[in-house]
Amino acid sequence: MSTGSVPLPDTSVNGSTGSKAKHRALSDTLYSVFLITPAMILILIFALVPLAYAINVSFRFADLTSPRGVAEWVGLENYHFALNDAFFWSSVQRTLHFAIFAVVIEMILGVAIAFLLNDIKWFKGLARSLIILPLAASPFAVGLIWRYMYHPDFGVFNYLISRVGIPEQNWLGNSQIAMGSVIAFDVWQWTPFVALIALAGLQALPKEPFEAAALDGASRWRVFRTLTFPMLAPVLTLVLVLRTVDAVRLYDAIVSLTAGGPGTSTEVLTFYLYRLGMRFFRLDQASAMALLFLYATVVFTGLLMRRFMQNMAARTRAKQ
Amino acid sequence: MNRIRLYGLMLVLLIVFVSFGSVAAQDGVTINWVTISGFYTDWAEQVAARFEEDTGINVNIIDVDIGQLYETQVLESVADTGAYDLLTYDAGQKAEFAESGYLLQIDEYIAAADPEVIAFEDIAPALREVTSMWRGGVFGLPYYTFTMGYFYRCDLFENPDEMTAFEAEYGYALGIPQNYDQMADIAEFFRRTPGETLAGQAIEQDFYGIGVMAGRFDQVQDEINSIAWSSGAQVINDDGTPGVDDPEFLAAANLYVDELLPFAPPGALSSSFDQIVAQMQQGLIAQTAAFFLDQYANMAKTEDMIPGARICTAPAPGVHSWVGAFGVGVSSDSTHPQEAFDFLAWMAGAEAQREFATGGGTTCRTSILTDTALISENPQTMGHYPTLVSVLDHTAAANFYPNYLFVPQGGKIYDEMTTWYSTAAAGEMSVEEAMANMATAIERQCGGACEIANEALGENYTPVPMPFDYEAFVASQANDIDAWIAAQ
Repeated sequence: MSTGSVPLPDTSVNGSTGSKAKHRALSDTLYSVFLITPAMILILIFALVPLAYAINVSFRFADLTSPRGVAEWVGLENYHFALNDAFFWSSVQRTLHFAIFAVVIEMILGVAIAFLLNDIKWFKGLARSLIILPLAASPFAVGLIWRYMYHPDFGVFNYLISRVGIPEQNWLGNSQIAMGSVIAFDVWQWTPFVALIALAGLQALPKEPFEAAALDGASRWRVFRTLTFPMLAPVLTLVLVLRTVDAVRLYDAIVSLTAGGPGTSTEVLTFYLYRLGMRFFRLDQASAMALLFLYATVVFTGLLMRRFMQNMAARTRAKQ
Repeated sequence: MNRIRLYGLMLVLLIVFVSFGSVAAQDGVTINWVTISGFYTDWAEQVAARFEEDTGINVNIIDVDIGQLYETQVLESVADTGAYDLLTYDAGQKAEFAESGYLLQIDEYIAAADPEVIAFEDIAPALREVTSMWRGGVFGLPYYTFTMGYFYRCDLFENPDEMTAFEAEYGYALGIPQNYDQMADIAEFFRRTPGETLAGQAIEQDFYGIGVMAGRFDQVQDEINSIAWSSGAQVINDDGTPGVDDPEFLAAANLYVDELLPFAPPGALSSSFDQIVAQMQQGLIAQTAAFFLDQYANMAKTEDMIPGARICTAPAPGVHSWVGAFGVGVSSDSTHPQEAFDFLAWMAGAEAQREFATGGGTTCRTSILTDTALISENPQTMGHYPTLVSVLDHTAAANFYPNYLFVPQGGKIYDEMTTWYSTAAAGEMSVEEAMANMATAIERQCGGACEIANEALGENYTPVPMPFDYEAFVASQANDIDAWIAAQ
């Protein structure tokens, strides 16, 4: 069994075992480096190199279909274009609209489902297995099915709501509700993720504080507000960060459900960047916009993660 | 786990990966054809297998989703990777692919090829012009045409009650619309709500006058452009300036939004071509706007699904609808251009195309499109051929080819159209605002006025649409395949 990098106790008189331990610790370090190197190389190749390339391109003229290709240095011109591009800002607005509504709903529903699953006595395993199904499906493939389910002429949703007397809706064809329909699809797919993580967090909570609260006659709401939620908060913060970062990268669902339409009502930033970069091949402008948004995302997640790390550190200190 | 064993395992994995990365060149030549995923790929595999048997040249068919095909090919071509020997392109992308040097000019290969195999002159002239020709040279061969026409429920159009009622209301006989105002009249006339009658029968569900593809997909521009072209308007004017904000074009777009769309099922704003087929099969619509004739086999299934229904075809009003095809050309990066061309000539040649047509594909070869015996044997899959021939012949006779197909930025302009036309259709902004944005987008893509290499803009060119003889068309019974076969 490996001892990691922790030195073995020096039990010998002349310290020879200590030397072995030092040697072994060094060996373990090398071994760790050896194991992590392939992953680091992959990250370097597929994440950092493209990022560096994108930064470089964002300061140049780069139209792949132009004879000039990736050409001269243009300074901040592409960033100036991005900041003055109305379509960029409107797509950012739609992205935030989507992310805020989708993530908030997923968090609320996910936590509620987690509590339900935590409380049920029977078929808990089956429920967990069923709830994971939307996560296992490809967003693009399922999106195509949902597109037909949403269809106002043949779709099952209109059939169902018409049975209870609600007027039929043009789910993906009405600019006013198309984004809501995309959000509903995302909620269906990603709420289970929140639920499963929250459930794991719930099941890992210590029993003693809850038993003490029960003895003191605390109400369920008070227990939730003063015990469960604060103890679950770090996990929920992590889920919030993960879901938010994922939500702002929304692409597959848009492609399969609406292709950004009707009009531009569901054209989120990734879809706009895809068009700019991969249909019009203006890599310079697309890179500048992507980097601006990446910066905003990093700042946002950094702030949230900082809080998360502070919570974790406080909890560790409390345990000590 | 024993560390030595772990190292050993990793070494083995490393060797396996290295082995995969250095697969030795296979015997013989392999050519890579990148094409549309799920699009007659069974036929393509069969054609490739027979070609391999005959020549020993391996053909590797690479399926790419149609939504990603354009950028996949452009990226590989720009990077000169040589990943593909044969490229597949839409007629609207031909100018870009040829002008940018992605496609090899193949005139010399054609001249050296067996004339019986290549039979270049047998390709419908209109499709040759829009899919093969660029600046006087040949850059590819079309193998599948999605040229637009018009579908309608002839059982309803020929119903005496409906005919009488229509004539009483509009003052002319119900029939194939010869212009888009007539199409709008028919759309309005056939809009029925539950409780009203259709062909003498009370209906229980809404019935709509027309099916249109107004969703944010490529097809919305095919419909609107067809209206515009039929009225003499152009996306890009002959001088290279945007035409989409000209009064004639705005009138065409407004007609679409105000006079066709209101009579379409609610799903129109999220529909592409497959949903129009479904609407027809479900008995929801009386007619299409300009629609892809290659969908005939699917449309004809309506006759099995709706008792008494009959599907007929005709040229779209004004006939100057979207005439186009998928073409295949030899990549200029190909390391085996001769072998790639040989396969192209075989695949787009008469023999393979006859198999293609028999299997349900819509060929570009005149000899097959006009083969009465073959059509008579396959009315369910070739019932649109007589109409298609009428459209193609008229297009060639009129020498009318839209300018935007002949600008190198055509592919990008096509993508812009999806956004702005859909925006107008959805009512997100007015037609005038959307088209003003479209005009700006055209100028942005072209860097000012577009350079047009449309050879049709010669001495004999006239921008006025050429009239089509609908009476002769109806007299030929090309609109009704059963009647047409009986008359042969």
